[in-house]
Amino acid sequence: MVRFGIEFVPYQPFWKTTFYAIQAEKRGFEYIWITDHYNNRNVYVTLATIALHTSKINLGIGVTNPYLVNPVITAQAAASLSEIAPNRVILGVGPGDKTTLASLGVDMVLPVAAVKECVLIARSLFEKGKVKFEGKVFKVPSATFYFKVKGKIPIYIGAQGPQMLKIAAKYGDGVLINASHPKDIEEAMKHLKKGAKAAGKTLEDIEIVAYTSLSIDEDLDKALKAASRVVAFIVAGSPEFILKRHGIDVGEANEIKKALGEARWKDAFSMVNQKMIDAFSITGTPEMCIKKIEELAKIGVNQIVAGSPIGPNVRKSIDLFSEKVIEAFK
Amino acid sequence: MSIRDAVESIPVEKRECIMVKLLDLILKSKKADTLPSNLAREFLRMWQEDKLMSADGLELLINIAKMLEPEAVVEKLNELGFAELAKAIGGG
Repeated sequence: MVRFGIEFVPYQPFWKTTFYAIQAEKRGFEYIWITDHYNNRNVYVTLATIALHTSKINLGIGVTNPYLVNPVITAQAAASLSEIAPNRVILGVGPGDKTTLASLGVDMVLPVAAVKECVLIARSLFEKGKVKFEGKVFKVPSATFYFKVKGKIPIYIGAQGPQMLKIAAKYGDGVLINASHPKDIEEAMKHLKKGAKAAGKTLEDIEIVAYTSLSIDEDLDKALKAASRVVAFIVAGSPEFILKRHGIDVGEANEIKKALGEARWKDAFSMVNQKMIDAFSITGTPEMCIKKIEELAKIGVNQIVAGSPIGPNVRKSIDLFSEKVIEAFK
Repeated sequence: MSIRDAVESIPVEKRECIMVKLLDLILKSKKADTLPSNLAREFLRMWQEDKLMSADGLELLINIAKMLEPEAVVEKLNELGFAELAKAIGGG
């Protein structure tokens, strides 16, 4: 059984993100994930606004990191959100982005330990309302909430590398994998299995979420054009071994990176080829998207998150995805 | 003719078409961040309650579109054959 989510980066005014969230709920998406970057709108304010305008869609913090906000305060924010929308909040935690952290003068110290400790601290606060913790990265001598946490708040871990994936399976209620291609999910599954086994769990105990770049339109060229703008950035930011896994020419990827760095957008986007689109996105007509989602589901993905660009016209693409894709998996 | 009168003269079967066109104008506007928050909240409330196709909803959409994209909305309404409405918002 595949569930469907949608992801937004809140770089747009609050009302646009909320508009699409309401639309997504009306059209049968079960999850909305809002990213957490200091340079966009705040994830908790965005989700609180969405919570007040929706009634059933699950609200994912997707994802925060333990470096910029102390885990106790992260737990407080998620718990406050859960008071507005009980049993609809999911806390996503990942190590963050090195470049962003560096721009704020913050080091990514012991990322695997930091994420694991953040999960344990938050979970204790969600379940018991208090925490005492001494870890490698965080120390909480004694913290207590003066309010009761409403609803259950599952914690998902944003993971890419082997160690983080193992931790995700071991400690998380779910894992968020930034991947759109079966090869990447298959690779992730190997590590998830090990982590789950170490915790006496099976993969069925964990929600496995593919956080994809998706572009859907009845007109394939339009879908491809919209996707190439996002895929260019993914290619530029991908490590060499990932590029090689997908048979992507490293030299071509470097050319795209160079063009993006020089703000030659048209050049960069025009260099994106079909192999890159296939590797890093779910792009195409509804039938093409269904086929790729079926492949991911077969490997064990439980939730597909439709991330940027979603399509050339976001409003139309949400409707199209709902009518053709979500319906096909019912 | 006022905007309200012009909106009320739109046949019910054409309301969805005009709503969709107005929504796309609004959502794609490069001036989206200039929309006052009180209007934005009203817009979201009506969307949540499925009232954007009502006369109140269409009037709100027209006012927002007029604020964000004054020329484009007149052009779009004329293109769709709603000359009276285009005229009511100042387009002729």
